[in-house]
Amino acid sequence: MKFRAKIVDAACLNHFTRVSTMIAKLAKTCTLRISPEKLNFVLSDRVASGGVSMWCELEQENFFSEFQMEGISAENNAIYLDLTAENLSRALKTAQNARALKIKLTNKHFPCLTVSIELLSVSSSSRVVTHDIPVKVIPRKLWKDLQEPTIPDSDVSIYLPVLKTMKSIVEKMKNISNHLIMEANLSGELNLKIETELVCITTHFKDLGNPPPASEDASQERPPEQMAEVHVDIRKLLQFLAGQQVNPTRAVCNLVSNKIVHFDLLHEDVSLQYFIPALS
Amino acid sequence: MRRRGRGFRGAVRGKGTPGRLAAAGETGTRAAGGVGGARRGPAARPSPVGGQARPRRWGQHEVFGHRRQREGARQGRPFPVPHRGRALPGAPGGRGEGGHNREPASPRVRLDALGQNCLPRLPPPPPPVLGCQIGSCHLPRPLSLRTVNSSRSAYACFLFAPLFFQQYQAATSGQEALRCKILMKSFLAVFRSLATVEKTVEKCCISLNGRSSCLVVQLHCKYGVRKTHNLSFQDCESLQAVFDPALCPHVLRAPARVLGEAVLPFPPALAEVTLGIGCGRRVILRSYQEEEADSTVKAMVTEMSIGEEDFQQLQAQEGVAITFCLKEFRGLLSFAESANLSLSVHFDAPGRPAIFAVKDSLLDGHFVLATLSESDLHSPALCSPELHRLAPPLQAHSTPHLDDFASDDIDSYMIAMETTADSEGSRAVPSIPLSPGLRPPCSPGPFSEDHEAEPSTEPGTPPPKKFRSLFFGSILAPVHSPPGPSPVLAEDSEGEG
Repeated sequence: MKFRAKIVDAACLNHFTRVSTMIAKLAKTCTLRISPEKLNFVLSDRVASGGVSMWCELEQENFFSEFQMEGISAENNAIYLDLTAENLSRALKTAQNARALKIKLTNKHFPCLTVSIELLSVSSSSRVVTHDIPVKVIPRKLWKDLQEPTIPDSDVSIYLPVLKTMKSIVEKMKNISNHLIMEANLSGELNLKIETELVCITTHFKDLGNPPPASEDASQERPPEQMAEVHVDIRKLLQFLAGQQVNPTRAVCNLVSNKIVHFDLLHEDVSLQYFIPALS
Repeated sequence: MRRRGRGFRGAVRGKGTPGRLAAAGETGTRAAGGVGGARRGPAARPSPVGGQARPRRWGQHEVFGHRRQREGARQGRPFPVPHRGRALPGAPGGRGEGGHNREPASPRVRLDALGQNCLPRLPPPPPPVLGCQIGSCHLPRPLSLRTVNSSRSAYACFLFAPLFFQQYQAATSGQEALRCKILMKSFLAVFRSLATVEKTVEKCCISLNGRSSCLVVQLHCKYGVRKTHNLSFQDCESLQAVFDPALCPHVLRAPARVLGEAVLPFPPALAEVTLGIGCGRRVILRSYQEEEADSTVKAMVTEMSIGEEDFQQLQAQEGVAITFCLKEFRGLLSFAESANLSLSVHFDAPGRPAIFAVKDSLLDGHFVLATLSESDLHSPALCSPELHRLAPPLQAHSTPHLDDFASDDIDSYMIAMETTADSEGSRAVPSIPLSPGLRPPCSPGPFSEDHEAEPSTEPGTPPPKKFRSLFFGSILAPVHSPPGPSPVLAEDSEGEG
């Protein structure tokens, strides 16, 4: 098993750092899947994460000037590593003024992802910062739980409003109730509702627009005003929104009534899929 | 909880000048009684050696201590060493009793601080008390501010020349040095907001009012506002560490900015760091984590490597290293950075205190920090050069890449990975982590850590562990027999009566 990669471009480095920071906000520990073309940050719907699952994908060509990997075997040419996302984020943050950054899989007492950063320095000699991030290699038999999730057939698909606005609203609602109702329809309307004995609060977002439907039939069947609603835990939604530091290039929310909320975001060239299950 | 620094004990200095570095020392004796008379228990007790002994000991050498000026029943007894985390015995109140030198009613001493900005920037270490010493002999002696932390593993001393102040008036000549001790929290509270102080305070007057046992700090602010703070003090003995930077064989000196940038990658919560000299005369700082056998979550290890050229002075051989508390070092570092000074580090073997010094024409600052004393393992690792380099592991297919990274060649290209449940792949290699049997209980030393795990040919056997010294690029055979418990140089302070 082998993995070596190098980033020399400052913009790529910053972008990669932002991605890792976002992942660190979304999950405490996650799985890093390394394959010849892609890097994925995966969170499977374990009980520990409360049923939330995540699949973040980036094309390695867009970031790394050098990239080599060799999986367990030729047929299973991938590497799955469990790591604490914050470690990676912290390591990358020290690369603010880096000339080059290298990541490789090493073994120092225990398997590590070694991030080696060569810093720009005033003097002739360079300064090198090395971070050894402990990782756990996931055996082949557990790989099946960490595959790309299938996109469910959604009842409603809608573009999201500015995430920062949504986040500040959800933050205030969190103080009142843990149970949030998300509903949306095909007329570009999204509502966030909380209901308690004393008070009901609803925030209405209008004119959001809906992405074109997958097939003709689906759109004709459903009346545009009909809301699809999902009851979710507000903290999970908030954690997701808090992780988005920058407004994404494209943000779509798919609702499957009373089942699941699926967020499909695109940050420049990095795609993020996030699933929040409905409260039972 | 980690215990540190049973360190600074022993000899005495009554004057303001640093004394010689005392010889190594204690063999576990500890005086009973002690300052406040509050101690009970046997006078000397052998330290508990054996299963309970931790492999690491902070250096405990006589660095400083107290002695009563006046003869008395407790003369010559060194200070008791309190457990870290506990308040000093009797602090703030009870410390001054019994047998210490009482000054006659001290006259007023006025000091007008010229550099009033300087005092608030003093790094606020955790210790609760600040010892103030104002000399008053024929020659105006410097104002000294000294402090030590509760576990005696860190000592700080700042000397301000009289010229630092606009006006410096010590007591009438012929008298001995005035010494008092103030609560750090109260003193810092006077200068709480540095921004406000810089904007509004025009003059700062510090005087000692012996009659009321108060240190009076008067801030003359704009618009005629005058803030007067009366901080009660206690008389105290001389707090003087026995150390001499000149005796330390290793020195390194750099502008504080360089060292400030060097510690930037380390997490703020990191407690300890190892400083040493590596291959190619590079100065290496590495985060130090105490290994806990039961912890499954390993911590990230960060290492910063700086070239020799960034240092104004580097007098140390490759392979030397010390481990000290980063938090305390950061305090001095931030002060040195703000005052734009150079910081010099004087150190010796692990276990012996390290001295961090900043110097100006008007002030002199020293921090003496205890360092971790390694077990015997580390010395052979770093000192034997005649070791061979092993062939690269069998699975390395690729040719080594040309890299411009200095430290690249010590990382392995391949790692031996966990075995799989399926029978696929003849590449079933045994799993890491290390089996406790092969790894010695103590870490092999601060810098001999880089492992290359060779996959063994028979599955099921753990790969042989090789240690590679970072500094010599050589690989050592693993040490199979764990060392015996290292001699405990000072007894367990938990057992105090």
